[in-house]
Amino acid sequence: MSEHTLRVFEVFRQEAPSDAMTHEGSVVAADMDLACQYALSAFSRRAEAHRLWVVPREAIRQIDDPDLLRPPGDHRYRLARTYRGTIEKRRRLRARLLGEAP
Amino acid sequence: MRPAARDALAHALLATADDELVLGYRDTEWTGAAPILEEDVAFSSIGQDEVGHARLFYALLHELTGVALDYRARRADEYRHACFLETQTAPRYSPDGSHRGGSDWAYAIVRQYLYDLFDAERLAALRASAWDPLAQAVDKVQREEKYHLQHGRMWLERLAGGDRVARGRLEAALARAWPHALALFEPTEGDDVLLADRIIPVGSSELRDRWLERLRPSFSAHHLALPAERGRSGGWTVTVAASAGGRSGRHTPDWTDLWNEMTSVYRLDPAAVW
Repeated sequence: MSEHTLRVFEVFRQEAPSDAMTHEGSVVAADMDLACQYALSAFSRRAEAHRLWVVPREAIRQIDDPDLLRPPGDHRYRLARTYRGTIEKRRRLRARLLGEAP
Repeated sequence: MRPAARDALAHALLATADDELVLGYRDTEWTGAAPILEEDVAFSSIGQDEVGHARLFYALLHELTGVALDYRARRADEYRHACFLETQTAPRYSPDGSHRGGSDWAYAIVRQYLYDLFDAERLAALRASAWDPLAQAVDKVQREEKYHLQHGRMWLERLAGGDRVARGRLEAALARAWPHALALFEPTEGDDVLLADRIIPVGSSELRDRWLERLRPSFSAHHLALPAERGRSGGWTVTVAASAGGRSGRHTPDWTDLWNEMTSVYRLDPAAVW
């Protein structure tokens, strides 16, 4: 098997039915069927998986543009920090109404 | 179970366990030497499964005879596996830098596939055994064999439909394998008693025909020759002589090497408890 016929496949694993799929790593294989065999032996040889996903790396679209990921504008308003203040204010209000020391 | 049937079943279980142990050992020798890293893991994992199945069959043998067999504490000629399985296929790299060649990945794949199909048919027969513990134990093993069969089929298809080099290696490996693969069906002692008492309700020649029948679709799809001809009525005539011996303890020099290695630690101190 020569190097140029091999492709990379990314492998995702779900440990229990209610868990999210998590990226575990990758395998190199000549095709999808062999990749599935290798995913099984590499990532669930000791029965660690409830389910595996095997995805050809070229099927994955990568987004790494910083203008899209971390736009330079002031986005503090999205951080919902004021909610934390609201919780504190509500605690003080309740204490005052109930006649407790704030 | 009458005593003659029990003795015969003990022979059959020992042969089965030894088959799995020896092939499993040889498969794991590919760790670090298979075509790619992923295949190292996959093929060694198959080998580990086979060793696990060997343990199960040794345990059944214990249950049947009441005697716990230490699989290492036997002379080399007391093992009953088929000689097909003892042949070294992986290269050897010594710490001193020397390298023993003669390795053959195509042969390793062919052997595994032909053996797994034989094993699948044998397991189906064992599952129908009148001896309940055996019939029950086989279920788990059968489920594990699914992975092995898929793996073998994929490689066979890829070698058969590959370039001239791949195809050539596959054909050479098959031609070399047939006499030894056919010896998988060498009957164990008391085979006829097992059949008569329905302890193993499929005889060795019937098992061989089922195996050939199972090989037929993929081999004909890839225009690969079988070591037998199929008559109009569906009966098979084998055209290659089987190289028997293993089931009666007659083995090849490769087995002497492997036995020496497998038992080397045990023989340092046979009384030691592990």
